[in-house]
Amino acid sequence: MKTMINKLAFIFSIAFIFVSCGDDDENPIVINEEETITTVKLTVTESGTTNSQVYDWTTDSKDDITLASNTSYNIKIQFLDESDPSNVEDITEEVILEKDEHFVFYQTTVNGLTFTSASDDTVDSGNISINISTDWSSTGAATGVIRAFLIHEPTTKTGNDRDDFGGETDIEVDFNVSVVDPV
Amino acid sequence: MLVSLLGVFSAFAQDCDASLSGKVIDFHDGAPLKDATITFDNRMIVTDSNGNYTITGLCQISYAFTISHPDCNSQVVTIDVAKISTKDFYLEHHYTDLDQVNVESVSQKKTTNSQTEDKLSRKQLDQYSSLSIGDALKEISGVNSLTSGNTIVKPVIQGLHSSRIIIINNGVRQEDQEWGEEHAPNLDINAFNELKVIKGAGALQYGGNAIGGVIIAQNRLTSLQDTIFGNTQLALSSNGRGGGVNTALNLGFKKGWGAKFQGTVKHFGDSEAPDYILSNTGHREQSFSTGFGFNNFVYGFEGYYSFYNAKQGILRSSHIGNVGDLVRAINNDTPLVINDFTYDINAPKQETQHHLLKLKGYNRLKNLGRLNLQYSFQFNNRKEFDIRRGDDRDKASLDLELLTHTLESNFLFDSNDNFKKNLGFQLSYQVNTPDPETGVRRLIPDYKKTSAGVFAITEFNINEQLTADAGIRYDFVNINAKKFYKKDFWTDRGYNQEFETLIIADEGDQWLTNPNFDYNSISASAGINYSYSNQNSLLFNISYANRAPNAVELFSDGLHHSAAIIELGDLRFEQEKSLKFSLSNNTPNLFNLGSLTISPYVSFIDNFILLEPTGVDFTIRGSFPVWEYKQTEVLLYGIDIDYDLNITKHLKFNTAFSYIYGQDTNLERPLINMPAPNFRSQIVYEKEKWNMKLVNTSTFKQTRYPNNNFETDFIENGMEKTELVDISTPPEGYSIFDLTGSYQFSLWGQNDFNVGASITNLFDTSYRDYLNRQRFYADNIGRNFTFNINFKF
Repeated sequence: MKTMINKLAFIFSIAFIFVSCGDDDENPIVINEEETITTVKLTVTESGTTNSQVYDWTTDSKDDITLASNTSYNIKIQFLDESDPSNVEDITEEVILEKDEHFVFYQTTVNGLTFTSASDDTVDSGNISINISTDWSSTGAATGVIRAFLIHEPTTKTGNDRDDFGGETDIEVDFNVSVVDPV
Repeated sequence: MLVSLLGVFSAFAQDCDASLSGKVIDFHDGAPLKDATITFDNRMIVTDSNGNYTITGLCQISYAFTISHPDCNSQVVTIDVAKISTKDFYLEHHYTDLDQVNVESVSQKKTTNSQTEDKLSRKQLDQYSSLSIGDALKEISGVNSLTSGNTIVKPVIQGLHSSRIIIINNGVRQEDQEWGEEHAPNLDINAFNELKVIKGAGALQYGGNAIGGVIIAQNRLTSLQDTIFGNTQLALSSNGRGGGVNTALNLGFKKGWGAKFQGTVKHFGDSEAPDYILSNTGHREQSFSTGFGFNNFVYGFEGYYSFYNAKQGILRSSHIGNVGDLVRAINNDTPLVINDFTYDINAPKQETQHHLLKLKGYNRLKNLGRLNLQYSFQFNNRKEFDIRRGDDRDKASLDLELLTHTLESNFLFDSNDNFKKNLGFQLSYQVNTPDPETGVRRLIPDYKKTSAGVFAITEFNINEQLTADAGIRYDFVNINAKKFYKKDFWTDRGYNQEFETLIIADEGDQWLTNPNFDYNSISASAGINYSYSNQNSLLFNISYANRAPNAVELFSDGLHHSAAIIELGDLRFEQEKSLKFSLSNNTPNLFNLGSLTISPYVSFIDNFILLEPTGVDFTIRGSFPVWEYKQTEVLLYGIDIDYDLNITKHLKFNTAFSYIYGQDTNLERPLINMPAPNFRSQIVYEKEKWNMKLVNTSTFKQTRYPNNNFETDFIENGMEKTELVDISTPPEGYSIFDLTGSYQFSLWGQNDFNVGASITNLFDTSYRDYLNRQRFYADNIGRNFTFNINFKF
C-alpha cells in the first residue's frame, strides 16, 4: 500500500510543479476607461444672434460664465470623453440615442435666472424634452452657480427639484455665473 | 457467511481438536485489547486483560471469525485452522478518524482541544436548504452575518469577517475572493453534513491568519457497509415566490468503497419587504458535488469535485451615482425604485462560479499514526454587473478569475492517546486575473500569490481531567502583482518617493508597476481543557496570529459604486497581529436547571486594517467622500452565553446571547460594523413524529459606532444649503419571530417522509439591520411562508 501512497504523492507533486511553472510573464494590458465623461461643455448663444460662447468643466479647469442682464440665451450641453486627446468621444450622442433613460436638469442660485427646454430640444418617446437644449432668460445683475445634472434612469421626468427625479446622477457639476448689466 | 456455514456442516464430519490462540491488539498503538470478542458458529470468546485469547475444539477447516470491541470497528477474518494455529488480530480503535460511518451522525470529537467550538448537524442544516451557510450559522452564539440584501450573506465570527475568516470546504481552504464585504462564500449548504465554527485562530492546521476564526464545512463518504441511501428535499417559499430542490445519493460497500452524488437547484424572484417589493433581488443557484473513495483500517483515498454557480440580483435602488443620490435614499422611507414583482435579474447583479477538485489519500502506520496527503484545485470566477451605458450595457464591470492550487500534507502521531502530535505543511499557488474586456480599471490587479506554511501541534493529557495543547506555525506569503496606477494618484500618495523602482512601464496617464512583497509570520496557540466536578468543563486558550494585507487593502484606488465612496489602499501596509484570550465554561447541569455555557474573550489586534473617511473628492459626478484604509490598534472583547433547559421531556427552551465591544484604541472611538448585542431564543416542542419550534431573534440598537457623517450641499429654491449625511447612526433594534413545524411519516421505510412548514418574520415586522449594507435603501424582508418535504430513500 505504501507504494500506492507514494505513487499518489508523486503524481500530486508532478501536477503541482507542472502548474506552478506554467508562468507567463506578459504584462497585463492597460485599460483606458471609455465611458468616462471628462468634460461638460456648455455652448451659450444669445437668442436671435450667432454670438456663442463655450464654457468647459473638467476636473482641472472650470470656466466661469458671464451673462448679460435681461437677456435670453440658448444653452446646449455636451458630454465629452477627452481622456484620449487624439480621440475625443462625444457621449452626448449616446445620451440622445438612449433618450428615454436620460434627463438633463439644471438648478441655479442666480437670482432671476430661469430656464425652459428649447424648441429644438431632444424629445423622448414619452414626448418629454430631455433638456439637451434649453432657453434661459436673465433679469437683474446677480451672481451664483448653475448646477448641471445628467440623470440616468430617473423615476420621473417631471419636477422642480433634483429630488423629484430619483435615478442615478451621472453628472453633477457647478459653473460660476455672473449676470452683469451691459456696459 | 458462506464460510461459517461451511464450518458448521464440516464440524459434524471431522475430528475437531485444533486450537487457535493469539492476541487482539489496537492497530494504532499496539496496546492489547481487553474484552474484545471473537465470534463464530454461535460461539463467543472474550480476551483477557492482556488481550489474549485461546479457542479450542476447532475442526481442520476454514472459519470466519468476527472480532469486535466496544471502541472499535468489527473485523471479519477467515482463517484456515488446518494451517494456522496462532494469530494476532489488529483492530482499529479510532473509529471516527475514518471519515465514515453513519452520515446522519455528528462526530462528537472537537477539532481543537481548547478553542470555543460550535457545530450544526445535517438535521439543523436541512431547515436552511433553500438559504445559505451564512443564514444557518446565525444559530450559533457569537456568529452574525454581514449581508447585502437577503441573499448575499457573509458569516461574522465575534465581530470579524471576510479575509479574517478561513472557510474550509470539505477539507480545502476556500479561495473565492472572500475579501469583499458583498462577496458571499461560493458554496452550497446542501453539499455538507456538518458545519463547525472555531471561534479563534488556534486551529493552526488550517492557516495562521484566521484572526476571526475558522468555519469547517464537512461532508463524509459512507463506507464499510453495503448500503445505498439518499434523500430528496423540496422547499417552496412565498417570499421570492420560488424554491429549491436538493437530491443526494450515497453508496457504500462493505469492502470500503463509497461514493456520493449531490445536486441543488434554487430559483427565486424578487423578495418582498412588508410594505414593498425589493426590486431586482432575485436569485438563482445550481450546484453539484460528487465524491468517491476507499477507506479501510490502513489506508484510504478520496476524490471530490464540486461546482457552484449562482446569479444574484442586487437591490436596484441601492445602485447610486453620487452622494446626492445617497442622501435622497437615506431621506426616503421607501426605496426610490419599486417595480412589479419579477423573476428577471438585471444589473446590478453578480454572477459567480466556483470549481473545487480534491484528491486525498492517507496511510496509517502501525504503532505510529496517520499520514495524510491532499492536492486541491480551485477555480473561481466572479462577475459583477453595474448599470452601464451604450455598447457596454451588457458587459461586466468586474470580472475576476482566481485559480488556486494547494498541496498539503500532515502526519498525525496518535499512537499514544496521551500525547498526540500533528505536523504538516501547506503549499499554495494562486493566480488572479482580472479580465480587461470590462473596460473598467481593475479593482484588484493581476497578481500571483505563493504561500507556504508549516505547523506543529501537540495535545497531551496531564491527568484524567486536564488536557493541554500547544501549536506553532510559520507562514511565508509572496504577492507579485502587476498594477496600473494613475500617475497623479501615484504622486499624491508619495509612492514616487518610496516605490519608484516598482515602475516597469509607462502607459500614457498610468504607470504599470510590479509590487512584489514578502510577508513572514509566526503564529502560535496554547490552551487547556479541564473537566471538573460532574462533567463541567473549562477551556482556556491563547492564540497569536498574523494576517498579510489582502489585495484590496494594498491596491484599491478608486470609486466603490455600491457605497458611493472613493476607497484608497496603501502599499506600505504591514501584517495584522492579533493576540486573543478566550475562555469557555460549560456546566451541563446547573442546579438541575439546565445547561449553561459562558464564553468570554478579549483580543488585542495591532496593525488592524480598517477604512476611515479622510476627506472629500470633487469629481464630474459630484462630490464623494474619500475613505482610506488605515492601520490602527484595536481592542475587541465580548461574551457569548448559551443556556439550555429541558422543561419537560418534550418541551425544551434555549437562548443564546452575545455581546461585542470593539474599540479603535488609537483614535479612541468605536469600531464600525460591530454586531449589536443580540438574543436568539427558542422553544421547541418535540414528540416522536412531530415537532414545533418558536424562535425569537432580538437585536438591540448598536449604540457604539464611529461618527463618519459628513456634510454635503444642495440647491433648494435658488439657495445653496448644506445638509448632514448620516451614514453612521445604526438602525433601531428589532425583535422578530419564526414559527416552524414538521411531521414525520413512514411510507416505505421508517420515518422516511418529513413534511414541514415555517413562517419566518411571523408578524411581518419592518426592520433594518446594522450589518445589512442595504440598510440605507430598504427594509429587510418580510414574512415568508415556506413549505418543505424531505424524502429519504
